[in-house]
Amino acid sequence: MNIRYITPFIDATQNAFLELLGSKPEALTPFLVHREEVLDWDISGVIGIAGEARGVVVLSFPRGLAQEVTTILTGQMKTSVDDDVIDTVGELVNIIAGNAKKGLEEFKLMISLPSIVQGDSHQIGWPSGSVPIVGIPFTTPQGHFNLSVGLENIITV
Amino acid sequence: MASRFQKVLTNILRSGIQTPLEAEDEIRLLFINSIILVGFLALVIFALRDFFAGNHVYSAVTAGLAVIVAGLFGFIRWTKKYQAGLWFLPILMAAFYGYLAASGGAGTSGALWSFSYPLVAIFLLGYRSGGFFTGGYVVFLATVLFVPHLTPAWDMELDFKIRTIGTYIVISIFVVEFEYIRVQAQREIERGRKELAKTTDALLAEKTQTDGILHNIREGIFLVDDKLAIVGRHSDSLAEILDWDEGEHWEFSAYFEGKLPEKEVEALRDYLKMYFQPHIRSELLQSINPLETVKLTTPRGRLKTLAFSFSAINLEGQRLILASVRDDTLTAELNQKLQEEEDKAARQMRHLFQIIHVRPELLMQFLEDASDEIADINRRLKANSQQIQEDLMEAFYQGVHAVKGNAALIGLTSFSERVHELENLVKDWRGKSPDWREILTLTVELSKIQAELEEIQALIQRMNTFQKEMANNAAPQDLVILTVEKAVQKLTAETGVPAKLDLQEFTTASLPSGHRKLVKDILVQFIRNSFVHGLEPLDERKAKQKPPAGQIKIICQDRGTVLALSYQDDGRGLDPARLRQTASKKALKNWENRPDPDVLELIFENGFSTATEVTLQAGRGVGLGLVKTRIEASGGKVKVRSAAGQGIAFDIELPKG
Amino acid sequence: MRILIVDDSRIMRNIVKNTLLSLKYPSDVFTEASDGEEAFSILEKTEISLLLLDWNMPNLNGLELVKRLRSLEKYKNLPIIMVTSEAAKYNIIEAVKAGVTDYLVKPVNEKSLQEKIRSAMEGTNV
Repeated sequence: MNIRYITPFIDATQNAFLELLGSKPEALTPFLVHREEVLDWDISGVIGIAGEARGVVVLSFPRGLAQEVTTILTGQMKTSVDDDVIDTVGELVNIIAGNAKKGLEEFKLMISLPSIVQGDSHQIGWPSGSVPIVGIPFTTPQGHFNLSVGLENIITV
Repeated sequence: MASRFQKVLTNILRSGIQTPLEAEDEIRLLFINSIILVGFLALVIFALRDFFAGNHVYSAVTAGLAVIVAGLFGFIRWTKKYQAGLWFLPILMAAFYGYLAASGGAGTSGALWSFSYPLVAIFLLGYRSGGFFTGGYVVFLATVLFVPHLTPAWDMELDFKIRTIGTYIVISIFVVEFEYIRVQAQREIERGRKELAKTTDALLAEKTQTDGILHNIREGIFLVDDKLAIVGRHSDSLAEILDWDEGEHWEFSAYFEGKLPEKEVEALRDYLKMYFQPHIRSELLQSINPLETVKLTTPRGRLKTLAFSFSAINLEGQRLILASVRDDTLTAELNQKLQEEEDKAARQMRHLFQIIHVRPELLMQFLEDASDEIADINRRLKANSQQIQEDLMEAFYQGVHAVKGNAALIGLTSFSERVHELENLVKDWRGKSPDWREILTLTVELSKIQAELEEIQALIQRMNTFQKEMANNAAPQDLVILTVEKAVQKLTAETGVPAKLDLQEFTTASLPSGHRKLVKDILVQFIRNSFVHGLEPLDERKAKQKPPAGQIKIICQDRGTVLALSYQDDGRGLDPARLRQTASKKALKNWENRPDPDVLELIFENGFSTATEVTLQAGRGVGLGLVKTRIEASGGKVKVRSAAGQGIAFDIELPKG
Repeated sequence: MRILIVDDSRIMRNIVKNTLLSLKYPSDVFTEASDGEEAFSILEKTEISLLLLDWNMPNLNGLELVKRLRSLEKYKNLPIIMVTSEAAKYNIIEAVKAGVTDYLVKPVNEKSLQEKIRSAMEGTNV
């Protein structure tokens, strides 16, 4: 794990929110995420990264914020986690992962289609091995959300 | 030969003037000398003919004229004042022709010479002044022809007279017209020539500039054609930057073969070919330049980071890529160093696995403690996102310091060094509030340490499985006692100070399991403190008549609600005077007049240390501070007693349960 | 004038559509598809003047669709703008090589979308 592998994701997150929602989320104190950690969030978008580095990017929201973001994007009031909300979370994590590749061009990377995990306390299937995962909380005027990145260079020098 | 004759002729006709003249003056100079030469030869011939014909008067006049003409030639050659000749000659010729015309000659044919006068006058003096002379001459000619009996010319027949004047006027008009057109054309040509010269000068200046640029700039600039070959000139620095000089015309993309993966060279070729497809937008092409920065080994084996940029240009109808390359190696070297450090850490990690001779129980204990410490730091990091924690960095530092100390103690040297590096990073942030970006760096470093711990854990697990199969039923030993013994052993070996550990009054049976880790950490810190600050070297102890081995005694008493723990050594003890001195150096106030027992408490201050050298073991000044913080956090208290020169004692009370 | 927007995310298709509406494109010119196969069958049936295409999609992805279209004489000159989150240069090179007219990295920005559509439509008679 190298800090250079994480910042592209942070930059991509801030840029995506700025472009789509008009305000840049502020990053808060980053922390370590345990592989078995149960997430306190309601909905997470997950994208796998394969190729010359492997890892997972997870974007987690509380239900309210996910609905609110979808409301802003669709212009339709969302009061429950429907297909649009799931679509939005998936598209956001897709944009973040895709954009972050620009800062990681030393590796040829492929990103998976996003998948969505839901439930009060859900767990993420992180890649096995000892890839450290760093969580970066963000704050927006509508509330907090979290980005977790675990990325490992699998090219052995 | 021809050129030599030409040179001599040119020299004669130009009166020996070497410098170039304005076109108009050039023509007149050549003309005047030509007339002089031809006229001189003609005059000499006529003079000789008249002389032999017996016309001595004519001969003398003609010869005289020849001399004057020769003199004029000499004058112009000598003074270079050909303008004077331009005026003199038409006057002289007017006089000569006038004389010839007036004197009649054979059958009054002398007047016929006059026809050449407009040519001479106008070509020499231009159509204005020359026209004036021509006009004046025709008046004279008409006078001698038509005024009866004035000169012998009167004898000419009237028809001849009219035709002579008519022809003269026709010739004059044609010459004026010709001269006028010639002058205009000449001016036109001159203007064109000047403009051409100006453009040429500008082009020359530009070329000089381009040459200068190509020669001097630090960037390599070159042209690539649609076969992807480098064509034409390129800047001198190109060879230096690419570390390759194949001269002109070599395939650009071939340079990267073997230096970049084949797939990337292929992508590069695809990319460069896109520049020859005018429909692809140039902004798009610029944005996807795969050589924007590229790291490669040059043909001469140097590792370089190069930055290329490309743009399409049209040159003489041919589409080409204008490319430039800059050497970014120095900037990249910094990043390289970072990478190397990371690789070094990985190597240390591998070493670590090879040097595990540590007792499995100790190692397990260490791993558990270290994980707890990291989990604690992480808890605080998470909490900080909700609410800013004032002492986040202090806690981060103390946690990392504890992990480092424990690792060093059980012999995980390379791991301890690794944590030491993180400790150094965190150290700078103590008492400050770094923003998330800076904390991210620390978090990532912490994640690496955690990853290493996990790897060790996995290894231990495999070893454990192995051991279980060996079915070793050795009686379990108390881990606290084991750790304490190990600490003394290790520090004795490291410092060369012999020590004797007295644990007779120390039983761990009554230790609540919740305090085991705390007690162990505290004792280890005290032991470290004794070795670094307290216990004297052998010679010093002998001189002070102390027993050769330092005495360390640990006592543990169950007092109902509290557990009393006492740690004693017989080392130097604390010197209140020296503590006060250090306090004033550190600008800590109000310690000068406090009583000795209070001053001793200074050693619990964070950042207070009297050891001058910073080592992994002590001198970091956090150890005893950490001890006090921890004890108080668990509801206990700690006191220090000391008699200078005789030893130190720490008395601790911990609540039970 | 008919614009085909292909993206597996309905939200994203709406965002692109809304961006174009705010750029004064009439609301009745849009046709949508959620994957490459669907887009291809629409192209076969309808006269499309501009294709806005996502890359990562189930069934037939955007890049595969571009390759298929460019291999057919009928679609040689169809303006195709790839609108995707894939921002790495090697991705863009791959797409341009496959034959996209232009490339736009999500999130979609009004100004660059307009600019890219204008230059992609240049030379076509729509």
